[in-house]
Amino acid sequence: MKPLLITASLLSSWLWYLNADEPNLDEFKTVLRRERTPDNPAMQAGRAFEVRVRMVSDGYNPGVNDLKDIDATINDVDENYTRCVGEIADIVRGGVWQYSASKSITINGTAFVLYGRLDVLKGAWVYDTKFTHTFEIGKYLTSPQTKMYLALVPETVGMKYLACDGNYWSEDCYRREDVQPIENDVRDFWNWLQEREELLNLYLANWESKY
Amino acid sequence: MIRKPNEVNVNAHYRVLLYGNPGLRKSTTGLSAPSPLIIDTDKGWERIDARFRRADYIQPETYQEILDDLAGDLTSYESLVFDTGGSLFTMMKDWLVKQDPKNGKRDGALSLQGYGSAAREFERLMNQCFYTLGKNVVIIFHAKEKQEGDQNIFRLDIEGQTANNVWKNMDLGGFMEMHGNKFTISFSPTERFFAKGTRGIMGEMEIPTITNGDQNNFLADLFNRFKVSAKDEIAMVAEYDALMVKIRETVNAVTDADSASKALESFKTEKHVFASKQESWTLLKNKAETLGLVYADSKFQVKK
Repeated sequence: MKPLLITASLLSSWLWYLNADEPNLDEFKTVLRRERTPDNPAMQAGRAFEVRVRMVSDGYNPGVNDLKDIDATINDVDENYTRCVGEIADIVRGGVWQYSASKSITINGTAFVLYGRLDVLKGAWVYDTKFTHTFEIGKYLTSPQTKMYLALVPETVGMKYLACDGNYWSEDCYRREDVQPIENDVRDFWNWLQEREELLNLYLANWESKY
Repeated sequence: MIRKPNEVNVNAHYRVLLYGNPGLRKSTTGLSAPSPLIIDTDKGWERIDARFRRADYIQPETYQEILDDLAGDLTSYESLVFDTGGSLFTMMKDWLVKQDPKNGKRDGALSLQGYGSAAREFERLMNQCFYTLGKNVVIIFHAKEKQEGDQNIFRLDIEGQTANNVWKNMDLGGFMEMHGNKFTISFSPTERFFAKGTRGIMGEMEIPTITNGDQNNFLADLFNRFKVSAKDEIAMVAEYDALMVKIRETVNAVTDADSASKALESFKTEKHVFASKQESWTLLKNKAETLGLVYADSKFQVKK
């Protein structure tokens, strides 16, 4: 059997399902089937913000899909938004955008491949840009994204989320020493699946790594 | 004055945030900063144990009064201690609405624009104290407790998004609490509270109980420790910056498959710092793509 793929968004979806007041199993099954989740305005706003930061920081030439996101969020852009874009771009300038990384691990005798695509990798830090109106400092300490990205680039000191609410931006900063290893989440997820045959089969059928 | 990367700046100063529930000696700890001036916006001076009231202080009625005092002669002070940030923010709010009525709403609360203005003014004030005046900045907050899931979590007791924004301007942020009869401060975030540490200053520390004859110098000692612990990281950042300049020059000079392969070989022999190895590979790969090259069989080749 080839190694099984684990991404931060898979683990986030699982935790979302586990912690929901009204868990939606059908929704989680769509994730296990790797079906595309329908786009929504918040996702589009997040992508558009990232693209704008990238355009300012390293002169990125937006693609067709990027331009759709930019057009759809044009009303978000005002003086404050633009200032946030500029200040965040100054921080990440010179970094490598969309760095893809993978790492092999073994949990209880099963081989997994951790995979992620980082917004920006720059020296000591992994950066992730967010456009959100519900940000609260400390929110990403236990996020699979934080744990995953730090596992994928062990040379970094930590991870910084640069979160803009359209008016101002905040920094949520975690040093490696403060973050629990992603292996714990993978182990919990794998153990949980073992007890749910239908879900386990969906995962095995759709999340085999190509590596 | 030009310094070498690993040279410690003896005049370095720091920004630290302290927060916790009432009665945890936050104000006393604030007084342990080097040569402090206390900006007692909370009118709490009289509540501090008389033994520790060994600093000059102001008790401003308005935010403008703070700005006026900061424009005066502050040469005797190394640290400016704002006690508390919550009451500072309340004063700042009134001032902001006077500056521009659009910053406020009819019920006296800040408008959305007002919160943005408050965040910017807070950042400007911190920058003035830290960069322009060259002082250590200590800002003390009460903690706010709220239920999240199965546990109580602690955050800064300050309105709205400002609770997120203030951290950006801080080098260190510690959550204070009591364990038994011990007072502690933690510089590592947990699910219960947020905190901000740095290399060598993380995890939980005990705040020593001061008996007669002891110096109240916890923060002064912490700043000295910060100075030493930051040394290695500052040197590494300088090494990284220098290496990345070299790597970018090498990548810029790549014109064909042969020079791309040679660049890759040279990167393999570098002593990499932080993520420079991953960054160098990505920069080179991206450049190769623009030249119509692919990496296969351990070398760059023209894409067929």
